[in-house]
Amino acid sequence: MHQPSEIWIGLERYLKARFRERKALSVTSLEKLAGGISYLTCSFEIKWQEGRRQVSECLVLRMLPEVGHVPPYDIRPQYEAMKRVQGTGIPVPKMQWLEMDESVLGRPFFVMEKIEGESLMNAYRRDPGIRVQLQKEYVDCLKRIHELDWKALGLSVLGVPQNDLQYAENDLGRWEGLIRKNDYSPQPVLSEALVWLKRNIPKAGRTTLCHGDYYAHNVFCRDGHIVAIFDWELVGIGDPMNDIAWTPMFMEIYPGFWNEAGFVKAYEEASGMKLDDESYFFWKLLGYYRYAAFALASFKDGLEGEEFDPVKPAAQSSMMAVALDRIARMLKF
Amino acid sequence: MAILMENSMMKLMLEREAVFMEREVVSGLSDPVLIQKARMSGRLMRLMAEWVEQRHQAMQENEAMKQALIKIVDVLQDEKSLSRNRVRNALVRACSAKLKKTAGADPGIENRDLRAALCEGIEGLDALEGLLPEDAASLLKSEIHSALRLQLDHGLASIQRPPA
Repeated sequence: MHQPSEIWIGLERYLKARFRERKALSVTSLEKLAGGISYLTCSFEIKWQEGRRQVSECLVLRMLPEVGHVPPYDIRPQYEAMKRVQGTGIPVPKMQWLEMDESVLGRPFFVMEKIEGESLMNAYRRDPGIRVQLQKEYVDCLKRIHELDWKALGLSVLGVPQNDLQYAENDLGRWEGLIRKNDYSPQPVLSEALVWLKRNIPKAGRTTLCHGDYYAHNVFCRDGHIVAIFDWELVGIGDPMNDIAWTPMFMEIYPGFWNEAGFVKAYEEASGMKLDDESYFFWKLLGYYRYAAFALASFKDGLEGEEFDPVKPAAQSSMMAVALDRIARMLKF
Repeated sequence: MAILMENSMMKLMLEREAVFMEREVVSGLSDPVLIQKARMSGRLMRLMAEWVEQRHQAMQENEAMKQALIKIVDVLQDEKSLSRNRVRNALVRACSAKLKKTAGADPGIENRDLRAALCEGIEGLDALEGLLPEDAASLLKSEIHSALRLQLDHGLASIQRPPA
């Protein structure tokens, strides 16, 4: 079940059973939202009668993919993380419920409130005057994520590294596995990167909540302010340097919002901490390695996916060329 | 070398023919069907020119990768202290086999197989870290990086080039 019409039928049936007290319940305006190569995200409207009044609510459904190219897939961590950080000052959509029963829509899913707004990338391009304010909020949000008392919030459910190397080792292992799985296009540059990365795993200076994919496309804005952080599917407990080194990479690939030096300086000032250069280098290189892994998986998705997308392979070839070149330059060849 | 030059000339000729078709031939036609056909022919020539360019680049990369792999085999075979080392022997066998297998293959297929062999070579040399003399290891690194740099430059050039 992956076409909007199939989801709509199953969802309406499910909601009618879940909310029996809501009269004349219907699901309308179900629309697949663009973006991402993994989870399926749809917005929809739920309507029902309360007396003579019709009530409606706009929601978003996020579902495990039928065939994903960036495994492993478990919908629970992102749901638990967003639910537990609610009310802590981290802007996230309000989680409604998680449904693990696959008989409902074919795969586990959760529903959250719909946030109106636009991505940070679009917001500052449309109104360059808000860029400085957005930069401040952008780094502030990330700093807050890293300063959360994750133990008190029960976020140990995400899994806690057993030592100060494990988080980095696991992350590297994940992307290595993805590259090996998509070996239709062997990349010796990635082999060079892997050799270096395995030999230079840094100890985590801190263990914090990490978003895992924090960059401008996953941040939503409205009226010049950040109102939501999305895409928590790579959330975990580990070295925050993962997030800190990941986001500037996109500032280079999609220039205009900020630059690496400015962001790093701002994070250091906001957090009161000096970032370790060696650790930063490792995570930045791993970031490009991961980016290349995504490109390989995404390329295959564009060719073999449910809906053939001829633009995707071309775009992902560009991603790959840039990632490989950056890796080579970081390793000085 | 002759084949590489031939490819360059072929690409140039195709691009020139595409321009001729799109400008000179189209401007002299009045029948809309023929105009469309002429434009399509121009476009096909541009696509063929791109294909020739990619093939040309694949052949250049293949030469560089073969040089690197041959060097890996030579250096490892010369290193008598490693004659009983399993990793070294497996690597020599794997690289030699790949070099033999890819001889005469289509440049695109050869390119893929040689890249796979180079991946094995890089990981194999890593396993021999500390066992090879520093100058030998450094020489092999340099050969490998030189081959990779060529691929990277081709990759970047292809995304900067406007589509056909």
